Amino acid sequence: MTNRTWPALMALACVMGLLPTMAVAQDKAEEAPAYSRSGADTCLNCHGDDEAVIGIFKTKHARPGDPRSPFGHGQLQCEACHGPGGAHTKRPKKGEERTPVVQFGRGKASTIPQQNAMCLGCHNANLGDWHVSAHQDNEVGCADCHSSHQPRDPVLAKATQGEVCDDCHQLQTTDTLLPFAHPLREGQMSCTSCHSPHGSLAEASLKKDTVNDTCYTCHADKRGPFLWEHQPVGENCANCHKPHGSAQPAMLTQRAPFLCQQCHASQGHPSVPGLPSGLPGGTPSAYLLGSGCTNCHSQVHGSNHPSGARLTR
Amino acid sequence: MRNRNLILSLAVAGALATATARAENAAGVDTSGWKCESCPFQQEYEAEVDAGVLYVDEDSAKFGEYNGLNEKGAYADVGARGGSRSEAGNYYDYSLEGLGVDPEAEVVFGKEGRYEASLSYDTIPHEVWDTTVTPYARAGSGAVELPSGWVRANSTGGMTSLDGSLRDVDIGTERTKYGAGLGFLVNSGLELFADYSREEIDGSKLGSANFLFSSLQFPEQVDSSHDQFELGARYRWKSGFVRLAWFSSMYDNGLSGLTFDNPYVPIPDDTVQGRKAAAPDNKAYTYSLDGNFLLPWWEGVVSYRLAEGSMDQDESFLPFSTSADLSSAVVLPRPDLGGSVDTKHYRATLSLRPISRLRARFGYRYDERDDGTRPYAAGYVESDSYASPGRDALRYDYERTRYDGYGEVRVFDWLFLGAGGEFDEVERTNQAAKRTTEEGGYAQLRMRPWGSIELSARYGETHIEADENPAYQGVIGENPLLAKFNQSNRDRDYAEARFGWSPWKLAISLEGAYAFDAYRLSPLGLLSGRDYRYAGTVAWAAADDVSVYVAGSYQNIATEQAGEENYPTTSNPWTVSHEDEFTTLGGGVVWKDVAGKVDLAVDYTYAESQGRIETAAVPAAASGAFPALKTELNSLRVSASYDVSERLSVVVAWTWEDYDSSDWQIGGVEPATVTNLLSMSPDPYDYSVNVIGLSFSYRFGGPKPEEAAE
Repeated sequence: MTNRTWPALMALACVMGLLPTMAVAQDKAEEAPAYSRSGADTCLNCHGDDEAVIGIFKTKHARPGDPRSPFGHGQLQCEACHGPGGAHTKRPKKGEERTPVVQFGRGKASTIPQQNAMCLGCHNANLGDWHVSAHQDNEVGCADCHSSHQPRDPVLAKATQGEVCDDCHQLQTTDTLLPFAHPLREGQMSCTSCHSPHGSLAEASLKKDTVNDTCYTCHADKRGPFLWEHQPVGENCANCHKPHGSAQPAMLTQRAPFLCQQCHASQGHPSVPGLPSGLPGGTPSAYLLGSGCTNCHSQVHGSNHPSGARLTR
Repeated sequence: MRNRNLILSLAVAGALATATARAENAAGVDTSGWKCESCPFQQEYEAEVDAGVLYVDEDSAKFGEYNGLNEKGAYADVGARGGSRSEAGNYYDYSLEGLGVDPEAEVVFGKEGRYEASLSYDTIPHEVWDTTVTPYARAGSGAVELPSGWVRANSTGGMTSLDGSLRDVDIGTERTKYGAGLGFLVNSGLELFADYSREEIDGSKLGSANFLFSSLQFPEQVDSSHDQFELGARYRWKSGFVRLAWFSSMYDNGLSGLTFDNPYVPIPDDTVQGRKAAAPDNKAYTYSLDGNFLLPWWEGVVSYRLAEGSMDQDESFLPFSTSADLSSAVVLPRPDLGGSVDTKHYRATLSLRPISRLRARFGYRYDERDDGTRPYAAGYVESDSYASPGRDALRYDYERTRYDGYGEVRVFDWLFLGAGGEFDEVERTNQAAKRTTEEGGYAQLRMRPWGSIELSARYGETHIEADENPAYQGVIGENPLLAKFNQSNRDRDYAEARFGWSPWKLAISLEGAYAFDAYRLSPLGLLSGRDYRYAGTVAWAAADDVSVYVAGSYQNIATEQAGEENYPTTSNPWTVSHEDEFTTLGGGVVWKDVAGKVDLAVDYTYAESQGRIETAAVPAAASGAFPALKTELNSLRVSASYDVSERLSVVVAWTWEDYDSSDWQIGGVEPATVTNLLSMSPDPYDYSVNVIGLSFSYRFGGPKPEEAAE
């Protein structure tokens, strides 16, 4: 741990200690609104014919034997998520609108923070880093992605998740159409193979601690440690690769030899420029054609061969 | 409107007040009369089975790269999914997809409120090339050999037996994945969990190797497995949770090395084969503690994570060379590396909302990679060709410390202004830049000016300063003017914006992003980079059952880099400029319940990329532009499903996909085109594939059709 680390932790601890003294008094709680008379039975009197509503009874939210479920024994059923519905069940006076319950989705009477607060009331433990997530920063609602009444929530299925994420992340989704990309378009991977949409304490909301740890989940052969290491490899795979897709082979940021020459200019062939004269029809060059530099230096991720000093073995 | 918001706020507050008590079943609400008698819980077996056939009219590795449809012919396509739940709360669900093409299966079962277990199986094909040729044939595990009678030569042009020895060989791998998981709920707060996964990869990749300045490509065998296991416990209470976990990963390579015959005239004489190391077996573990707690004021939340681990490998070294003479010229200091890297990851964040209009968060992150491998210095044999003097195997450590903060003010109910900043420091060992520090800031606004219009925009800058490492000895022969881009002074400015509007039955979404990097103190290497992109979608709900969309995107990425030819004898500078353009267009229509029986869908995608590379060199006569790198994809899918009955439906689908590409790096490069590269000669991808499918879907169990209709 660096010299700067401990002071930082101490400062954080001090801030944590001081904050309570600065806390403003909370408003006294208003009297809580009333719940319905019969719970879900009351709700289903009006909403029981709506397929979009009763789909919830085929989901994890409707498991009577699970005390964590809104429909678990003694729990608040529909009103666990939609809030107290006592006033909502009363016939409105002429000219007045029916008192709303908490509604989910864009354009509803409930604000996104109100909606999300309902979900987080139970799901804080699953969504531990939501509070610092990019989705929270941009006020994305849980219901913007999740269809909690659908028996198969599309965002939870590998094959359909991309369509949900595409609603906002068009730039990343179009990357999957690039000539070289991870198999998201084919449904073999999903955005959540690497990212935690509910936030994480790693960069770019990655599921693992670092970019490399994320990549090692499927590419453990690149982990090493190798006898002969290639410095940028162990530090960050994204130094050379574009994980969302690239026009270059192997999702590289640029193809060899040009990519390699961004860091290598030593005397001899590394300092020779790639030229069109090295193409077939001219003087075909092994530095340029085929795999470029990696025709010989094939062990670019590191070599464990005692003769692999130049990453050729 | 204000009353309406007040009522909702009270409803949320009331619900949340009880939510914290929900785990104790003490919501303060008497629910004893809430029988849920009209709740249609799933209590019987329900399933859906698909059975069909696909026909593919052309071989293509690229089309079938990840979908398993790489060969011309007919494929069965069978799937099923279903589940059941008993009144006692026992349940199971299963899904089987793509049987006959690209199988995937999962079974989940458990008892509500007690445990849940899962088993899974998946395969991921990765077809890479079906146009490659080679004179090499596999000769046992991890070895390829040339045919008897092979004529060695100093260049590929002299390999007179080459043409007669070439055979077609496909390049690709298949991943087979197995998984198992178990979650056990000890009580409403404590949960134990265990997850295991195993991945087996078999097949081949396009490998390459060299003998001094002559190289060869060959089908390189892949045979490895990767096991990952996580075990942990999570405890939650009304104001937070804590999670303790142990994760381990074990990579096992079935090959220790890859041996290949030398197609060239061997130097020295006994180097008739070469051998390179395969990726070593290795293992890693991490134990971690993470969680959060909700502060009683300012809606504060503290999140934290402490993780430490190690990455190790002790794979036995291969001999220095296939040449006994060369191997005897150098001494192996120890039989294996005994490599060990310790890792540490500490994170903490604090988010607050001191007043309803203000929100802020602060973050701290520390990562450390500490390579504790014992020093290694020894001579070696370069490319099975000559013995080289001793060299240190450098170890690379780093420590990365990052602080960041963000605050946002709600100026009006429709306008939010925010600003954030970060400080990121990386310290490295054995590198030219001992320390790089990045400082950056950004401003952001979010607006909902009226109706459904939403707009957000951000602009930011970051600056990296690199401190030179006075102790760094440098690489022998390296041009001192070069600055590696990941350790270089860099200025970056970036901007991004997003717009959404849903007027009438339209949904319009536009996105754009821009970034510019200037490596201001780099005479050689990467000088600058620029990236701008935008995308948009318009969707229209033309009727209750009809939806239409069109979408498009464009991105342009450009870089400039420089070098110096023949360093250090002369100083002939050169520069290379790159520009990659990528354009997509698409559209589709979904029309459901046509005549109450038919669903129709049409989807079209167009994607085009162009890459331009131009070298400006000394002498100028050598300068010039490379032929453009091009790809063009057209993909059309049309499908129709017809409900024969409440339970039976039939689906007909047709997919046409056309792909053209040109790539000067492999196009026209025959096995002997380059005198010192024996190539496998892959062709740029080019295909036009039709896939026709017919499938039937039948639903079992669940409500009977007449009940559902009631």
